[in-house]
Amino acid sequence: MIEHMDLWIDAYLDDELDPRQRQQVDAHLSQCPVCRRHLEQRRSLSGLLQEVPPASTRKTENQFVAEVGMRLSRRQVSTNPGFHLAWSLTPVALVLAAGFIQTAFILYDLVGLIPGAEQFLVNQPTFAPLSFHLPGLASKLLEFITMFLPMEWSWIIGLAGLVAIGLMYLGWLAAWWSLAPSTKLLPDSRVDTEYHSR
Amino acid sequence: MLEAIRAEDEMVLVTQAQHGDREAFGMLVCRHRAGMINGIYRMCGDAQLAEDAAQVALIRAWQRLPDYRPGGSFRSWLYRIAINTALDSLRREKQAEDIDDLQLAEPEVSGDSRLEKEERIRKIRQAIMALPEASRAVLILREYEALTYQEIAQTLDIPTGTVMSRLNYARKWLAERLQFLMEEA
Repeated sequence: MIEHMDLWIDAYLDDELDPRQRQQVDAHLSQCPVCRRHLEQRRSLSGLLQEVPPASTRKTENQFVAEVGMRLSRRQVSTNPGFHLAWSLTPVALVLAAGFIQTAFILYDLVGLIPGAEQFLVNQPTFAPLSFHLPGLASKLLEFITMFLPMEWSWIIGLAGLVAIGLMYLGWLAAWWSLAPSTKLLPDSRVDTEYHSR
Repeated sequence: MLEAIRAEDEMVLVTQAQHGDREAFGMLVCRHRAGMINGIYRMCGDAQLAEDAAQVALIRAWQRLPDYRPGGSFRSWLYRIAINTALDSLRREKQAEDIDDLQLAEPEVSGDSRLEKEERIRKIRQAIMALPEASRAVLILREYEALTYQEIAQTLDIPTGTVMSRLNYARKWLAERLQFLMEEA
């Protein structure tokens, strides 16, 4: 009694068998009228199914693509995680730098209110005796303040620093906006080329 | 050879899209739009619903793109989202409950044969829609989207053996119900 190869007939029709299996099915088909009839039936069915037309769509390709583009969420273009982190922290670093300069100037002005302190700062720019008694961070801050001596120029240097930081911040904002992805999926020229080449 | 170039080109576009390149994603949308719409249309039988569901599927694909791992077929991955979206839409719209109301695309024929042709297509559509969802999806991916068994298995996340048995079931089932149309032909 011949065992029919029902499952294999589909794979044979869909060209999914390896050459050895194909040979086996060919050999079986040559002597099994039932499987030959099944194969013919499958072929007719495939032809019949192809009569169903594709969907007639309302939207043109351009409309469809544009609508998808408008509904996509923004995803920032990323390069590598290190760069991405540094890029994200840039505005924070700039704000901290501006804050540090402002704090330094406030402290500098406060120190200036002490009688004789101005003269002391001029004569002892390194603050060695004073810094010896101060905690590390305060000592460093005082050393930084002395960098702005002579005192009559210090506010200009500080202001220039703030302006420079402000400009860097604006530059970062401009870069952020220009690198942010647009809502369009394709430039018009590429859409047209793609569309007409179909 | 052309297929290999196309696949390589597609992987470049996918990688770019994964990094947030919307233009690259747009090119992928252009490539797969028609296949997705037709696949969904054949699953649910409503052209308008298919178009909307294809857009939803593409938006989901964009959101899930960082999770896509190169190696598997991108088309299979995309079609899996499309099929799931189609099934969601189908259940929501309850289209399957009234398959007589299917909106069929009008075939380009004229004269008396037009009605006959329309009736014939309606019967085929009804028979396809009456198939269980699992078998219908396999049949559509094979017959209309020409996916390989392996791609269908990846798309539906089932073993290749299950693809074969579902396809066999669907074809046998349709052959019985559409026998009279095949004989007419």
